[in-house]
Amino acid sequence: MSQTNPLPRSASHHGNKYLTAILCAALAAAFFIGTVTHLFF
Amino acid sequence: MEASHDAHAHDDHHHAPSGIGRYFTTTNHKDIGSMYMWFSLIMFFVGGFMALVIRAELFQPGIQIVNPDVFNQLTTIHALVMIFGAVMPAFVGYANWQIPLMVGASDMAFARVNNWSFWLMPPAAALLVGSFLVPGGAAGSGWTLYPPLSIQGGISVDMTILAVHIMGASSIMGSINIITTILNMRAPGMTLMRMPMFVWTWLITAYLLIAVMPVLAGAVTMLLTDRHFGTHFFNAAGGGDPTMFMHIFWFFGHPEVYIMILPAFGIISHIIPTFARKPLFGYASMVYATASIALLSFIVWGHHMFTVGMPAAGNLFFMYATMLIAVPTGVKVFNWIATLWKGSITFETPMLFAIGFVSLFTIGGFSGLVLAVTPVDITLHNTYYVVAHFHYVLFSGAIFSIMGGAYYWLPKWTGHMYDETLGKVHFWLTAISFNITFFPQHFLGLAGMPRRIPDYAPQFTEFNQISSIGAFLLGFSQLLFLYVVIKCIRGGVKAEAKAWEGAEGLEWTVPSPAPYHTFETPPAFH
Repeated sequence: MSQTNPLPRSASHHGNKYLTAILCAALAAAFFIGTVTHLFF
Repeated sequence: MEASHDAHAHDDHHHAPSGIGRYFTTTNHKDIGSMYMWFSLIMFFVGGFMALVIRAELFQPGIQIVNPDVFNQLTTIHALVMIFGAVMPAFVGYANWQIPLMVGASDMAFARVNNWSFWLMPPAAALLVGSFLVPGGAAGSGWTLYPPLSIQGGISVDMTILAVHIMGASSIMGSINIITTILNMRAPGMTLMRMPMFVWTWLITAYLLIAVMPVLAGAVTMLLTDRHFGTHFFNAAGGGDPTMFMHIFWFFGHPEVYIMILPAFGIISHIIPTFARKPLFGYASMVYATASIALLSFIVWGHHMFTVGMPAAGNLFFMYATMLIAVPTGVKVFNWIATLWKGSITFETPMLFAIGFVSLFTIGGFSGLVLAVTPVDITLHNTYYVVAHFHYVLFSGAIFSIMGGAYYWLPKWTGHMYDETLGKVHFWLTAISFNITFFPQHFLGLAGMPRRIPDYAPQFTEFNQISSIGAFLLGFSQLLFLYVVIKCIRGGVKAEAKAWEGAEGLEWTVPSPAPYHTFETPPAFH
């Protein structure tokens, strides 16, 4: 893939962007799992 | 708010890559923002075409143009295309273009994910629209995909489920990108409570998306296993509960309404201060009101289900919780009016759309309060009153803000001022024909005309004819918008860096059009 945005990858000035993304993804996963499992209880 | 732009004075020395491959592989937030916008506009016309077929059929009683099955398919896909294909991608387009510019970031936090988020959308749209071509036609269950109809439908329901899954994945990835960009990539010195209002509304919207898109994904996954893998989550014949689907769907569905209106609030909160030449009145209260609306949106889903048969305590809870939303929404409306108060107001096209938004969205808000009253809703449920209500919220709300925002930021995106006369003509044609289309539908609903039915009793004819004439005028007026946008891209009066006298914010410190790369070095934000 040609790279059209040759900027520094991490220009994070307020904490770790990967941590933020992982927490967001975990929240989304929790809502999905909660939705499909709550009918079993 | 001031920013030093010495640091990015040489940004325009970069040149954008060329060739068709650029758009497949781009990781640039401006390219991706533009692609979202064009995708949204195309889907707006596709969904609009379906709306015009619906209104043509409803021009007179009886069945003239489409049979009832196709009519149901048109209402279903019109809604899905407009919600997931037009309104949501338009706001994601705004987020892509504006958030990095507004917070002083060089790009979105995860630029490759951003590319993927966009390119998931066209296949999903092709599945939705292409489902008309399969045997049996498209899904006709309504956009809510309620069982048992959605369990009984043909392969088009599977295509719709897959489309919803794909668009949900795109939304979740986009939301993670937006949250991360806002929380981690802001220019040093830009604290949360100094962020532009549009950025705040999108931060809250992105959290709503992360919370509810997986719920929709879960619901349609269970629908899929009911259809093909022998489960009976929602299949009454096997001991399942169709009502449970409705609860899960609306736990997603109501926050979804706010997903489509909170970014609109953000856009309006920039346009009004610019053209009133005053700072936004009550910034902090706007932030808290937005957050309150988002939190309340999780506890009001039952107001879509008053006729399903809930305990009286449930009905009462959902009624009062729904009415409570009028409080933070009222805070926002009064803040916009207070911003106008004693302002030095001019009425350029973005401001016309913003004032149109405040006036007409408020009508939709009030009819929402009417519908929140349980006994009233039991009478009006599934009538055209509901159709009128949500089009006042979504067209004169979401779409007006999208149009107003486009006129507001076109100079920044294209480097040219749009044709002001044509813009104003577009606004007045849209505002007038919108009201001709949807205001009579309040009367039809109050008189008892049901929605999603291609035929009706003869006494409803006149109001339906007025509505259909308005709809065609409304639809064709939007071609003027397309013309104004293309004309603006191709040329026009050169736009200043700060295209509007009263505009504030980092995006107005970079040249117009915004260079391909901006804020490679973070701006000094005072």
